[in-house]
Amino acid sequence: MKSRARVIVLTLLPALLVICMVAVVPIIFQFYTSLHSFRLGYPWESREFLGFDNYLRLFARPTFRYSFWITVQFAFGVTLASLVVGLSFALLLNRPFRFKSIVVSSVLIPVTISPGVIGLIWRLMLNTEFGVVNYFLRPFGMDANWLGSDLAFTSILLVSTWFASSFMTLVCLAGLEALPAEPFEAAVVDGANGLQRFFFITLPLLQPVLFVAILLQQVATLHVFGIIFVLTGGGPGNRTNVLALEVYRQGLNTGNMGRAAAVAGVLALLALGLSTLLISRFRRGLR
Amino acid sequence: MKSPWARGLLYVLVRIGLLGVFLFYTFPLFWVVWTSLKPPRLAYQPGAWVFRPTLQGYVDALSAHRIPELALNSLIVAVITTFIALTLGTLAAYALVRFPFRYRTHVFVFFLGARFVPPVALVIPAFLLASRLGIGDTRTVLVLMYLVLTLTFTVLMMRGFLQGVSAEHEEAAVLDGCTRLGAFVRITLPMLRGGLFATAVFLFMYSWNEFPYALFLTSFRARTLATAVEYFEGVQGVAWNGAMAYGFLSMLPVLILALLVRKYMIQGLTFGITRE
Repeated sequence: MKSRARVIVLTLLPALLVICMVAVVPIIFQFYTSLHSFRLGYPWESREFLGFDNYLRLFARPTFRYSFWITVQFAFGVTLASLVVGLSFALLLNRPFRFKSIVVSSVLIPVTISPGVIGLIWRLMLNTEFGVVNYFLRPFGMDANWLGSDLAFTSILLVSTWFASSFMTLVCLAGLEALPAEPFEAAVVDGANGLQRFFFITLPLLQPVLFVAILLQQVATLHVFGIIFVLTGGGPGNRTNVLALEVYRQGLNTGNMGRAAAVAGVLALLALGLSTLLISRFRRGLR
Repeated sequence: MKSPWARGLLYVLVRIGLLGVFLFYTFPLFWVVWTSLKPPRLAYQPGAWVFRPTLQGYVDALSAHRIPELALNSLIVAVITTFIALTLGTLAAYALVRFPFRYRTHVFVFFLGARFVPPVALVIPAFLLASRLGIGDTRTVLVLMYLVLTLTFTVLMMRGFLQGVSAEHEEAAVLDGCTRLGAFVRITLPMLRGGLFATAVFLFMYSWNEFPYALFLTSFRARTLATAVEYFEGVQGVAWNGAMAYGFLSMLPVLILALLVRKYMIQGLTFGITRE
């Protein structure tokens, strides 16, 4: 019995200690910082206690409320769009065809590229004058100023969906491939058409997989930083300035670390809300 | 039932759709390679389909902005992070799977929760703590912060793989006089080779590509290849052939690795949560 306890401590403790050191301590420290006014470049002793003033001041500013609002829009927009794209792609891919392994491999491409590089690639492709997207759209008179203030938010949504749909496609495809064949055979015998089979058999059977995928995707969109940082830098103005970008602007641009920590706190709470939902769902699945 | 015409039309539409999926994901990659091979002047002209390919972009990218040095930083950080996370994470997963101790679920949820903290929410305290500890702009601070996601990821992944291996052989070895850990290392680990390798690839991939921590926590000495994107960012006057050559070079190693562990991709992307 004693040896068992020792083995548990020996194997579990290192990982727990490391996570406490690199995640828990910074989270506590970030909360502490968010309650203070502290500017980059000044000695740490110069900080002043403000209580929740940083948070209150943030929500008093329309620009911050705007950032908060587009972050929520972004999270829901990317999740919904990538779900639609991913599910459609998975339905297309869920059949035997030549070159299947090559096409499925191509779906992996976005998740292997560094977010900053994804931003860089699309920044070239979406450029108004010499971007390849406008080059193809111009003959149809549909070329546009993708990174201008009207379409910048749409663009970060599209590019993030390109990235996120990769995950959605692969997860949905795995889900579809694991579905049993009998209900479909029975439905064919009963004369159900393709649409009926999709809505009354595929979707209900796929629902548990979709639920986990949607929640993971929700949380993942709050992690998005590099793509937007390079593609628009939060601009033009603050058109695409989601919370993650606002942390950068407050922190490294203006040096207002207390305020930046408060923004990060709001972002963390948003992620916490969404992941609590995920974890509670998953714990039920643990039984 | 259906007319041959409708059948044929559906067949054609599905093939076009499949081609669309393929192009949707590969075209940006193609455009990176294509642009990187253009002479600088033509890199601004998407309509220039005929040109003499040149490696000038690669020569420029490799000789500017200390790219080889940054790549070395990325490699060192990624290898060390992978090694530490894989070792500690696998041991923790072993405890979680093999011993039904009290608070086991709590510990598991703790790891799962840490996995969902957005990196950007930690960069400010990490930055302040690192500069106070005198490890700002070092590879050490990158490894430490990368452990938040990689270590928790390893626990979740290896937990899934370990659940698929029965404890029988281990217990037999313990009866034969092996220590518990010895039995785990000698009997079970070799059975998990595939899973361990796949996990290692994911850890390497994450560390190699990581962006926000590297951007906030390093400025010069410990800069990584992923953040070199900053140097190519301006639009006017950017040599796009060089920028795309950099892009391709930075993604090549992980692209190859990712294809090697393709069959583990689903577990990797969902950290084993949707595993049946």
